[in-house]
Amino acid sequence: MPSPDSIDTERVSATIEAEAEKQRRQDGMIAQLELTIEQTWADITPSRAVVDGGEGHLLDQAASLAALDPQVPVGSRRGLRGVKWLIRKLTYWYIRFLTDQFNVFAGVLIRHLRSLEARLGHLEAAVSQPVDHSGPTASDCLDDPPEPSPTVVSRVADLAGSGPCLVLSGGEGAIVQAIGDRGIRARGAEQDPDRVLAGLRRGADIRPGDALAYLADADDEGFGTIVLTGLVEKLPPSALQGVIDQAGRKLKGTGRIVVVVADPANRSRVDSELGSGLGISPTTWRHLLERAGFDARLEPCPDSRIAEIVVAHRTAIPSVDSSQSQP
Amino acid sequence: MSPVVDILIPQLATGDATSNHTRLIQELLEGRGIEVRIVVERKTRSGSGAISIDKWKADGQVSILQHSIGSEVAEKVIRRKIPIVLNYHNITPSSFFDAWQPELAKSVARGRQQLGQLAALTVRGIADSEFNAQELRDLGINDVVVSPVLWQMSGSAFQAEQSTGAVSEDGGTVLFVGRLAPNKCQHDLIAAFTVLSRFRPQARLVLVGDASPPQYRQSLKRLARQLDVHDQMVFTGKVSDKNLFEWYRKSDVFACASEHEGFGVPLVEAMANGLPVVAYDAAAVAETVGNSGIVLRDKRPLTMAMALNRVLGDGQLNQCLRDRGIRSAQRFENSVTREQMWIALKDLLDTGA
Repeated sequence: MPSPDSIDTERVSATIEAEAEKQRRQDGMIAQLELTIEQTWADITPSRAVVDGGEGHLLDQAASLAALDPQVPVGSRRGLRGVKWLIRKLTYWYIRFLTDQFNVFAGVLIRHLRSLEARLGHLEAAVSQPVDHSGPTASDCLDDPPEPSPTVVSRVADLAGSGPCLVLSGGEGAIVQAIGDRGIRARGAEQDPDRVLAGLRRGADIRPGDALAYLADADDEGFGTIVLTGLVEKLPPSALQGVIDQAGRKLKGTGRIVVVVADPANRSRVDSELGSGLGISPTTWRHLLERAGFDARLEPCPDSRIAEIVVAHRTAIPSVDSSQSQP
Repeated sequence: MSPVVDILIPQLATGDATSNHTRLIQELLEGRGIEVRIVVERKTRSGSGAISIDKWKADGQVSILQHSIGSEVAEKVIRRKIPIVLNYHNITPSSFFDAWQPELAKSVARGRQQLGQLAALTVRGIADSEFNAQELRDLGINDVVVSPVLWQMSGSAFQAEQSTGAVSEDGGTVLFVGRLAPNKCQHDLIAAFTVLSRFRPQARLVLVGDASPPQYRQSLKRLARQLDVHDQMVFTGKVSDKNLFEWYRKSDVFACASEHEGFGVPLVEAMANGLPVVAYDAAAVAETVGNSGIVLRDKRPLTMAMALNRVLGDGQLNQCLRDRGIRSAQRFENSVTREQMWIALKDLLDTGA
């Protein structure tokens, strides 16, 4: 059992977030409860339309006026404050009566409308099953890339440059741990809560959540090495350019990007059909990185899935003029 | 002749962090032989010795403006182009109040606008946190010092009662202290508590603080009723320092879902009273809590509920957070922050020493 002083609160937070996400995915009741809570609050919250629209309904405006706090320092002169307070109090008494009546009417109306909606829903269900357009797409059926083999992990750790290192996506933390074992501070971000929990259990620093959002939120020039693997195999080429630009911003001047992906050309027939248009080969990665101002090379890797690893570092500080990046 | 310092603040109230901070600066400077005049926009019972802004002559050696909302005192400084020390407590974005209290939204928006104008008149910025300091630097103020809010709590802070660690399986009191305001997101705490009550049917949620705007409090109560947790909740309203200390003492965990805190005095008070903290990572919250609490990047109800349940149920973690919190809060202990404030001000004051 660890001593209290050795408890890493960041890791505890990450574990809780990943466990919550896992439970949310597994337990439909909890997910539904969260939605119900959100909807309940949305129904209670006053509409922004009153403010955004400028005019709004008379009763909305009156209710808002009646709820004003006369103690708020808004710059009124002392003499005016008493008058203002009295007017508001009177307004409150009168408008409160009107709004109460209106609310009773609106409540009844809404109840009937909801009942009507439910009956229409039942009717629709009885007539035909509607087509669900929100179902998974073909690419959603494509399995996530498997965890890297020990050979790949070791090779990536050898190729990592200076720290700190960010691994996207971090998976079960094998790469993060191997880089950490070489004395480089490493952290990963991973969307799959099962993998996050596995990573945390093995002692790797893995953060739950969207890996690309994590990259976007990170400090500029904050990393010596960024490893791109896993999720980038399921992104279309149009999105990859954005990932490279983003990673470039987050990299220190002398930092490097390491790309660990399988060549889509070697996919099975099922995977290539489901993942059509997703992911690019290491050679194309090298091309994109060179276009983004990196000096990129391919390093061989003796693994059945990952045959080559792309290592890129800056040749010069990229210009802020976006026109220079055009071919 | 002793130097004179004017401290400008919209109003001196009781139970308000900025007002308490102002009084403690007054005490600090007067203790060093400096004459202090408090200048207010509106006189209140608690600030009866203050000078009205209309009668202020701006003839002090240094003028310190406490800025956290749009005010007439700031307006006066801007109109008369008076050089100031800007003590910045951050301004809540107006978007939080747009739908709830448009008049308050306008007031905070005005505060933001004034902040931009005050930047040109600022000889030194004093910020409660690095988060606030960065905002001042972004406005072009180069001389910025971080000096936390001065606060002092009655009761025996900085020590926790002997604890057995975790609380009983189905109980636990979750506390939040702060104005009932949209930016403090007490509705998210009620949401999290609704889920927590599935794990711990006997748990309680206590919300300490006055409402601003009142509509928000009404909505919170309505939410609690609709989610069927109203009977497990306590809305205390504004409480005395003594009662506040009692709530800290009686509670088992402090939960904060706030989306905007320039510093977060209640977080420090909770830590000082040996209360483990579970908080959402927003604005200066992580900076204030450090590694003494569970800081979450996700505050969806289940995530916060699981964090609270974990802290309530895991004796070792609970004890660790209590110990660390007490140690961490000592960074903000009055004698430490007074010294920081004095360092921030002393070279501007010609005390003849």
